Amino acid sequence: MPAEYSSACCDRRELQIQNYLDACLSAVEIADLKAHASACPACSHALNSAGDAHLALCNAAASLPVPGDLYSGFAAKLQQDKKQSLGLYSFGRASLGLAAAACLAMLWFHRPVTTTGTILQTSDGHNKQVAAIGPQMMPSGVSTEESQSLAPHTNSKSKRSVAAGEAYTPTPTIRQVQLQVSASRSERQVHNAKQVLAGQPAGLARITSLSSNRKLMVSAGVVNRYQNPEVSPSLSAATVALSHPLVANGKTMGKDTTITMPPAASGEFALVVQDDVRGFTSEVRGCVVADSREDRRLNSSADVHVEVLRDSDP
Amino acid sequence: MSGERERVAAPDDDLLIVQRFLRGDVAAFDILFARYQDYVYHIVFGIIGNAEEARDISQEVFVTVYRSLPKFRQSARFATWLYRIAVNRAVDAARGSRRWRFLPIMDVAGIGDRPADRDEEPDLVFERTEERESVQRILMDCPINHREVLVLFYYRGLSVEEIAETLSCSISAIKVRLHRARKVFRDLYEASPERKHASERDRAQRAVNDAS
Repeated sequence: MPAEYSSACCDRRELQIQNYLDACLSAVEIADLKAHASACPACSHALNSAGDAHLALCNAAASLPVPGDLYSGFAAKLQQDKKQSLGLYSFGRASLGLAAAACLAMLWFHRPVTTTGTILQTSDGHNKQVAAIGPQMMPSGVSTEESQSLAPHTNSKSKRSVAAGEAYTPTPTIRQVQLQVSASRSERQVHNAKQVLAGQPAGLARITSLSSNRKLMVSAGVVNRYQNPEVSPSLSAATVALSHPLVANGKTMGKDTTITMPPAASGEFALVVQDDVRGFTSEVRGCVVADSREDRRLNSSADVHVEVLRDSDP
Repeated sequence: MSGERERVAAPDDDLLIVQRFLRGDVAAFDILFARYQDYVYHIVFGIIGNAEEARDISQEVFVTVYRSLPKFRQSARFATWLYRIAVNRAVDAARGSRRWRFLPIMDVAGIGDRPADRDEEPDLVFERTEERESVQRILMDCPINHREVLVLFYYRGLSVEEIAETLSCSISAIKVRLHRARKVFRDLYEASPERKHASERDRAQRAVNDAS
């Protein structure tokens, strides 16, 4: 092999090839590179594959479409952001007032008080006053019985969830859920799920995803190309709650706070989901099952049917 | 990108719009949005690889920019500052979602039905979409620091100097990183099954171009 075709030479050509693709070579240098490549199989291959990769990247970038609703979504987010800031501002002012009130209260309670007590004489002859505890110094709030009854709520996640009014169903359709979980681990298996559930009306194939706090979320809808069921990392079921009892599939799902159910549309609902990671609230709209490509991320507005089936915490 | 290394607008022009916005002309922000929305979306999409998430994050980037404009140092270029926010936000999101992988699905409602797409042959659109998806898949296999330079270079068309400014690195560091990133991408692309088909067609196209 001639010295020109040595590995070091070809390494140098590597950089030259990149410069060629960036149109940074002079005509003489291009001619030199092409002459070398025509005689050196390694560089010829490198030139071809670098050219292919370069073209692929250029083409991909050139044909990348931009969603048409980018501005409307931005405007909505900005509006929401403004409201939140306003809320925080008001909250800040209210907190300030409360803090001031608390300070005044503390000053009031810690003012020098005249107490009655017993004078004890210690062994070294000093006097020590043991003050009687006045009624204003008594701890207020929780009694022993109450604190005992609160303990399970702070130690048990599921009990805490129930207490917080989360959507929680004590009687899940276990068999169906397990089938769906195992059948929706990959895109290929989603198709299997459709086959398994072929007896159901079209559009009722179910996909199960696991939310960050390990509650199983089931969304019904025909979902194509659904690669990974763990699609909703930021969806925290801890913040998903239902304002009215939601009857879905013959079961009452839960109650209290953030769900809205338009009275006109029967069975239609929207879950308000707080995205803690990104700090905004978004909605998951549900209805009877339609094609819902967007439910890959459950924190967007899409026609999906979301149902908390069971707490999978150990 | 399509090869060109142009700037979106004269920096002075951007600064004038920023100043208008800071003087209270809220509508001025719309001009900036219209001017940069494509670029921000391309950067975010290139790094994240998921259309829907990219849309979300692009919108958040603009909300951040809207909120932070009063803090923007007007000695800097607005575009660089904006790209930096977009890259940081996208990289954060990409790192956060490392556990799971998204298929680069391009058929999200509202994405595929732009006028430009409608005018073209359906076969061509389909082919391009497939190619784009395969390129994006390969990009997602690249390390994130390689992905960000490739995206800024190819998707946004920034020069090495501009990338260095955006990522707060030296020019030589970016050159090295870009060189390595291209090599990594090339190796992955070469090993990908889609490559054979694409390369044959592209070579034929290049031969036609060379001949003409």
